[in-house]
Amino acid sequence: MVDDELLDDFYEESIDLIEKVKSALEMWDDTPDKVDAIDSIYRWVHTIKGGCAIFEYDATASIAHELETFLGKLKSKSDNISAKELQMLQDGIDAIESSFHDGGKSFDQNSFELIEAEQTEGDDLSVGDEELVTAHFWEWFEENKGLVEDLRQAGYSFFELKISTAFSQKIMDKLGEKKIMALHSQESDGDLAALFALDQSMAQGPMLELANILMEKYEGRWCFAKKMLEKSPIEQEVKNEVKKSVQQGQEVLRVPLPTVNSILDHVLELFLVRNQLAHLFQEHKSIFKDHHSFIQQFESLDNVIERNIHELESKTMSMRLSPIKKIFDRMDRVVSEYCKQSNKQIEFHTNGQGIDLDKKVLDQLNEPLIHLIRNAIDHGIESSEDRVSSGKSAQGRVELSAQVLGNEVAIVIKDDGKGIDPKKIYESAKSKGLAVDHLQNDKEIIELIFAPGFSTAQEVTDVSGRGVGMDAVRHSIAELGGSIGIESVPGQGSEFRIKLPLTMSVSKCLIVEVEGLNYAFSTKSIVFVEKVRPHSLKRNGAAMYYDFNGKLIPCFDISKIVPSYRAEPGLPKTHIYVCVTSLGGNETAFCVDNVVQTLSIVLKPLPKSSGKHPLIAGVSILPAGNPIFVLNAQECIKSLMDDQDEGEGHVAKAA
Amino acid sequence: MSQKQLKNLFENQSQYSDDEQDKLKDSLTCLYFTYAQKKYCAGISEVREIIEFPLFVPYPVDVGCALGVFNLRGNVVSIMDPRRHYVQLMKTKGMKAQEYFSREKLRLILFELEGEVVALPVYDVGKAVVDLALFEKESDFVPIDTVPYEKFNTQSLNKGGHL
Repeated sequence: MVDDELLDDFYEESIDLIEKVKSALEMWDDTPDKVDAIDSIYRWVHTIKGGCAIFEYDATASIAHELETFLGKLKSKSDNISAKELQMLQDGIDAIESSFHDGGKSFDQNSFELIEAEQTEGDDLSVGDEELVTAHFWEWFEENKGLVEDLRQAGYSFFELKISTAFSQKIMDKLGEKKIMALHSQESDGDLAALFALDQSMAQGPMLELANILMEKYEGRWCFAKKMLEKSPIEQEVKNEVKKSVQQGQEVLRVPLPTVNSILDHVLELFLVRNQLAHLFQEHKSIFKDHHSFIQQFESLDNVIERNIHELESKTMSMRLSPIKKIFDRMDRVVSEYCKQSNKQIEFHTNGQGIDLDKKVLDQLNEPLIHLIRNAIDHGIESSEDRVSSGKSAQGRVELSAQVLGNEVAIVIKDDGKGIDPKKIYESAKSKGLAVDHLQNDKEIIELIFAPGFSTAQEVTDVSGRGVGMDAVRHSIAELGGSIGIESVPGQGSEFRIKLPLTMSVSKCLIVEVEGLNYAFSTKSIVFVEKVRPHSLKRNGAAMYYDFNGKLIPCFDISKIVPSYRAEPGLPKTHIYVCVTSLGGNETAFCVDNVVQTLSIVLKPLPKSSGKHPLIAGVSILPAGNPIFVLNAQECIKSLMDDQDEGEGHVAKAA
Repeated sequence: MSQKQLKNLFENQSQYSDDEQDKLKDSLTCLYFTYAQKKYCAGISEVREIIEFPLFVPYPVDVGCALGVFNLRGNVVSIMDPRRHYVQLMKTKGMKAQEYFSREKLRLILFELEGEVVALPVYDVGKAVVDLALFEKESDFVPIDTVPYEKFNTQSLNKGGHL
C-alpha cells in the first residue's frame, strides 16, 4: 500500500516535470543552449519514468521509456532536431500527460508514433558513468604547472573525457593529427580518463564541434584552474562550458519572494545589531585594557561575524536579482512586432544588458518601459518618407540603455525622431484648461506630458495616444522610488531618462558633518577627498572651483541646502573637506565641514508618511543608535547647480 | 489607559456593579492632548504608544509636515507635524528647539497608519472615559469635562494631510 503522502508528492512532482518538458519544447526555437535543454528534458522524462514505475503507472512509464530512448538518440544532434522530431517529442509528452491523468494504466496507441532519429557517427559508442574525474587531473595540473602554463600561453585549452578503454586509442588516433595533445590518462574502474589540450586555432568550427560531441558522449568537460582561466579568444567558449558543467545536476528551489524579503530584513537587522555591539565594545574597551587576549579574540570573532553577515547579505540580495536583459529582449520584440505592422523602419539598440536589478523593480518597470518604447516608435520616429524628406536616414533609431550610477540605475530611452514641440504642448495644455502661466521655459512645458489626461495625439492608435500613459509611467516609477525626466529637441529626437534606486542594502558611506549635523554620502561615486582651507577654492562670482589634478572642476557647498545647527553659527570655518565625485567621466566636487568616518550602513527608505525627496537617498541608524540621513550627492550637486544658474539669471523664456 | 489595561477592565467586569458594567459597555476611553496649542482627542484604540520626546534628527530639507526621525527600538519613525508648528520652531530656534521640547515636557503619541508607526508631538496628555454616542456623533468636537476637544484626524499624519 503506497503511502498517501508519498503518492501526493509523486503526483505533484510529476505534474511539475511534465509542465517543465512542455515549456522547454515550446521555447525550443528561442533556446540558445539546445544541448543543455535536451539534457534537461532527458533527465525530467527519466525521473517521470522512474516515479511512474514505482507507483505502478505502468503505461505512462512505458511511454516515458520510449520517449527517453528517442531523446537519447536526439542528444547527439541537439542543434539540428527537425520540426518533425520536435513534434514527436511534443506528442510524446502529451501522451505521457494524458496517460498520467488517466491513472497511468493505459494510453492511446494512436496518440504518437516515434520515428527513428537520424543516426550520427559514434552512436554505437557507449557513455561512461557520470562520476566526475576532474579530481584526478587537479593533481596532475598541480604537478605540471610549468607545462600547463606554457600550453596556456601558447593558446591551448584543456578538456577531459571519461571514455571506455576500448575506444581510448581510437579517439587518440583520430584526434592526434589535429593539433590535439593527449596529456594524461588515468584508469578508473576499468575506464580511462583522458586529458587533452586543444589548440585554440583548432577550437572552432568542426574541431570544436567534434570536441563538444565527444564531451557530450563521454561525459567530458572543459578543465580549468583559477590562474589558468585567463583571457584567450576562446575564453567565452570555455566559460560557457564551465557554466554548463557547474549547472549540471544543480537543483533549483522556488522560494516565495516574501520569504526572501523576510530573510533579508533579518540579515540587515543582524548587521545593525552587530554594528551596535561593536560600538558598545569600543566605548567600554578601557574596562578590558588588561585583558589583551579577550580583546584580540573579541575583535577576531567580530571580524568573522561581519564577514559572514556581508556574505549572507550578498547572497540574499542576489536571490532577488534578475537580469535586466529579460526586459530588454521584450522591448526588442515590441519594436520588431511594430515594424511588421507599420511601414516604418526602425533600428533598435540596447546597452547595459548585464545589469541585474531587484525582481520587484523589474516587474514594475516592464509596463512603463513598454509605454515609453511604444511612444518613441509611434509618435517619435517618423515614416521613412518623412525622414528622407527632412534629410534623415530612412531608418529610425531607438536606443535603450542601462547604467549603474552610484546607488542608482539610469535607464535611457532615446530616439532620433521628430522630437517634442513645446509650442504644440503649450497649446494643447492651454486648450485642456491646464495651468500654463507659471511655466518659464521649454523644459517645464515639455514636462506637461506627464500631467494626467494629457495627450496631443490627433488619434488614438492601438499603440498609444490615450493620454493616460505618461502619468501612469511617472507614477509607477515614483512608486519604485525613482524619477523620470525628458529632454527633447524638435526635429532631432527625444530622450527619456529614468533613475531608480538600487535596492536597500548595506553600502559603504562617508559620514560627514555639515552645519552641525552629520549626514552620509555613498562612497560609490566619491573618488577623492581632501582637507583644504576655504580660501584655496577658486571663485568666479557665485561659482566655486576646485583644482583636481590640475583641472578646475565645479565645487558646490552642501551647507547651502541644509539648515544650520552649528553651536556657533557665525564662527568662520578654518578648514573644509572637498569630496570629488565622478559620473560618466565628469568630475564635480562638493564641500562639507568635516569628515567623521567611513562606515558600512544599512540604507533604509524614508518613512512613507514623510514622502520622498530627491536630495535624500534614505535613512539609516548608526552604531550609536542615532538615525542619520543619507543624501544623494548627485541630486544635491544638481540642486545647487540649478540654484546657481537661477541666481545668474539663466532662465529660458517660453516661446 | 493602555490597550492592555482596557482589555483587562472589560475582562474583569464582574468586579463592577451591573450599572457600572452597563456604563462601561457604552463608554469609550479616549486620550486627550494638546498639539500645536489646540486640544484634541483620539480613541484609545487608535493610539499605539506614548513615549517621552526622544532625541531626533531633523529633516535636512523641507518635506512638508515631517519634523524629523528618531530610532524606536531599531525602527526609523517619522515625527509628523501637520500644522507645521514645530517645523517653524526648528527653523527659528535650530537645535535649541530640542531643549524647548524637553522643557515643555512634550511627549510623542505613536499612531499606526497603514502599517507604519507615525509620531505626533503633544503635551498635557490625559485619558477620559466618554459616552461612545457622543464620540461617534458627526460633530468634530467631543466635550470632556465641558471642554470641547477636537477629534483628531489621523489621516492628517500622512504627507499632505491637513489639520
